[in-house]
Amino acid sequence: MIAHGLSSLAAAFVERAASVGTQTHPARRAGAPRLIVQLVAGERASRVALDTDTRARLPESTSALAAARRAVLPPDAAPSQLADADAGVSWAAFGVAETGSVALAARATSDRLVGMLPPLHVVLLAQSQIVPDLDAAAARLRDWTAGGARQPYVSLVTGASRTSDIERVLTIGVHGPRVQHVLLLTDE
Amino acid sequence: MRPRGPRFTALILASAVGAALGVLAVRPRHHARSAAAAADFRRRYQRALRDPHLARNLLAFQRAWRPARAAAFAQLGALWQPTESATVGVRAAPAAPPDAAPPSPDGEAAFAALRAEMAATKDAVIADLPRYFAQFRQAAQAAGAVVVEAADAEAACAYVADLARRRGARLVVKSKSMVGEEIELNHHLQAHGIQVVETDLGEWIVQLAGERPSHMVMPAIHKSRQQVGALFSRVLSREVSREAIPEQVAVARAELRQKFLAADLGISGANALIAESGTVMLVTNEGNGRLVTTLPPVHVVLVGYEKLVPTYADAVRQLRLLARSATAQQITSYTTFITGPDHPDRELHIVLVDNGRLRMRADPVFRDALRCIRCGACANVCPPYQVVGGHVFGYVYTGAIGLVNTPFHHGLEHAAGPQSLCVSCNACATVCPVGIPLPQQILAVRARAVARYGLPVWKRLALALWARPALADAACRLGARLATPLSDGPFLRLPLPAAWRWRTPPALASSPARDRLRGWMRARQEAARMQETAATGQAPAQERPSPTVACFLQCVTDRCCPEVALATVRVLEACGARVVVPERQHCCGLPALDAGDLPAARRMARQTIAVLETSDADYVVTAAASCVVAMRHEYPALFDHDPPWRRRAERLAARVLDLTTYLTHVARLSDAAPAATGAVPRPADAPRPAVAYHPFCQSLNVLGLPAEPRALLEDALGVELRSLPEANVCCGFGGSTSFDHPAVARQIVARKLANVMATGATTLVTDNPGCLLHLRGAADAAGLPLRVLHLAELVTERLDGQRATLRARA
Repeated sequence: MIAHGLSSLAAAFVERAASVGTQTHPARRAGAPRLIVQLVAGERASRVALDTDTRARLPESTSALAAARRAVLPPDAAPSQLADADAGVSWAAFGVAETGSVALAARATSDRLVGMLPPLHVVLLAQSQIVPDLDAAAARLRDWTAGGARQPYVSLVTGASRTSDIERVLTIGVHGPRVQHVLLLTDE
Repeated sequence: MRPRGPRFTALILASAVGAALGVLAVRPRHHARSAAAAADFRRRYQRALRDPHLARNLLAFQRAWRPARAAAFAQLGALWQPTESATVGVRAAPAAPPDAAPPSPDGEAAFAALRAEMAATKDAVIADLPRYFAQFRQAAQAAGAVVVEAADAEAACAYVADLARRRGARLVVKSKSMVGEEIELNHHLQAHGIQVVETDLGEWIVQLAGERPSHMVMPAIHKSRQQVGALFSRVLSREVSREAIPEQVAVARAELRQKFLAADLGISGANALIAESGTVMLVTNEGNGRLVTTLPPVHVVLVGYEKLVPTYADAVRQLRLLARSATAQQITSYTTFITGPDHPDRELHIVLVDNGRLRMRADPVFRDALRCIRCGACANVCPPYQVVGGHVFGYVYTGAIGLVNTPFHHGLEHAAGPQSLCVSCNACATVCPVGIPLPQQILAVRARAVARYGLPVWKRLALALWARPALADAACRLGARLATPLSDGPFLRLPLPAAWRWRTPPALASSPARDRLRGWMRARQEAARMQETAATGQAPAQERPSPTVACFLQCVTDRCCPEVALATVRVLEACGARVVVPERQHCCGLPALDAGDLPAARRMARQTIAVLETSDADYVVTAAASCVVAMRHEYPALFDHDPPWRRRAERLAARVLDLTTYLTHVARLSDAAPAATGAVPRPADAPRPAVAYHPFCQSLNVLGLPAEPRALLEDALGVELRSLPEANVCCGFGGSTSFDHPAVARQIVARKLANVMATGATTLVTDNPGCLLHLRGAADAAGLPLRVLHLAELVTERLDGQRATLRARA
């Protein structure tokens, strides 16, 4: 599972993410689009939503999905369209090794919904953007605020949506994704 | 005190009747509101006890939660190490630590360290609340949020209703908010024609059922999957599985998805308000929180002032404690930080609700309760909560914290019933992640409730009698004489009503320990005088001077199980102590303290302090750990406004010890003992009884004794110790709680005895007479093949093989 080229922080991230059921896939940037297609196909997802950062930073993913005959939703898709999507792909601002969390910081509502509504969520995370712990995450959030680069809405996402509200039985996939994958970009 | 003649008894009883009439003449004040609240409480109580699923569901929940929480903190403990700045740091990579690194403290140590830090942070905010609020408001407003303060529930509801009206909102989606529950916002909005839909699964279930959350984190934990399936089927008019939880969850997803998309306004709570940035921190697992705060164009945050923290660093520290304490997770699935609206067209309103919080802040007894981060851990370890659930053990807020904050948010009348269920086991204090002194605060609520509404007549009479040593003595002697025909060994065979037949009451001893020890004391004093005479002129060549120990008999032990007091004296002597039994001992006042009758408690405490001051013994030792807790931990607070008595109480507190601690740390029985003391030899060929040990809960949770004094039992006494599951859960005696709520105590003791019987032990040993009589009576009533002994009795039993030696030595 742990491929060559993973930093020790990344290795810790992979381990913690696994503990909450998130599968992490180390990949080089060039291989990421193909991996996204594989994951989407694996869940039989036909309609895929990408957030703005993913489109901008990994434009090849759009064409790869199209080539695999997946419908890619338009950038300004309405919430009701996103609610019908089978998969969402988001670009994470950073990751947290202590907890296996990814920080999603997209400002636009439609970008955020990409990670909230579809049952499958694929997150792209640059290995270089993994911070050791929640304290470091807190420092980064504070710096954003203090530096004027206000991020109005940041979520640390750790695993898929879950509940244990009925008889304290863990059930995955309530209002958010049922399955979460993280593509760990080793050369980003 | 010598036994007196019949004329004296008659005189005493006449004055007892007089005192009783005096007590009865003082009528408690009755209020219409409190009567309605009491009736409402009784209804909820009866309904909970009739529910065949409730206690079973909660038992499974509590049994699963404790180990899960322990594992979550152990995971933190493995990562945790102190950093240079003495704050908590977590190593990111589990790389091999450098040799100089200190060993990783275990999970509970990490918990304790983090708890101390969080409590200090919260205290600093509470102390300087106006400044932190101003800082938060300024930052949040700069980010485009609207920040408003609401003095009470009505003002908060009115603000939200008005906002909804101005925005033309017809449908509101809500993510879990305890403040929303507190101010009963849903009713208010619905009265204005606005539809409100709860979107947290548990909240949605209780909303559909027309109930309140029974737990702050898991609102529907009282319901079984069958009940949820039946509810969904009924409300949705189609068949939903009664067994498959994933199907039930899928139903919620589909139903609520439509609501999210159509909603005009979203309402959430907040887990923290970060002052440095004006940020709202919100944690959820289901993902509903992010949808509620993203889809509708207007987002309202309902939050109490107590959620303010200074920095992001403080907020993540809270996260580490909150997720582990609430759901035994390292972190919740979604932790969201919202700083102002994300777009100029969208609105963020942050409503800070006072509703009694500032009064709480001004009250030195309750101020610390504002540290609460609403994790619900206090409910998850609470024995009566397991039996009756949060609709009874609490009001809107549930669990121990609910007993404490209800008087401030909803009125003392709504806390009066629930607080009476607390067994004072102190388990809540051991898991509270911010160190709130919940047991003391609950007792303070009890004292206030008693001061306002009075005690039930039977309790007033009993305490008035008990607070008068001479009367109590006469009554006990008379009672013992009258009840002789019904006595059967240690038990009283009464024709009890069915509701009371689960615990056989103890018989009153015809000859209390004080009588039986009087002759013994005289003989000892005589022997000591003779020894002194004989030793005149010779220097004593003792290597280790024997300590003098004053034995506090304890009232219940004295009257109901005098053999425990005799055994205690014998054990202390066997360990080499010079034992004295001060005359005129009575009661330490714990029953009154426990009942919330502080004047009576002070009276008995003074009497006890004065009696024990007549001896200058090195230690005061008692077989009643409960009284040690009272003397050491309650007396100083009891005399808070009476410095001379406080000093006398502190002097007593400094030398009072429970028997287990004395045997372990003074007599050092458990070290190597028999040989070292030469006193308690272990018969090598004696059979090893299979023993389970039930620790008195306050021994564990207040005195810090181990759950099993293993070295003492196994090494020094040579018994076969069987590990008792849930050893740290109370037996359900709880002072007078088992008399106030026999139906609850009965279920708690059944849980205890089931655990004991599962060990296969034939002897159950405990360290407190309250637990002893309760467990012994319940075991007898259930016909269990189980001997229940006090630790002192077990020690003397193990001594018996060597009785002759000891007699020769004496």
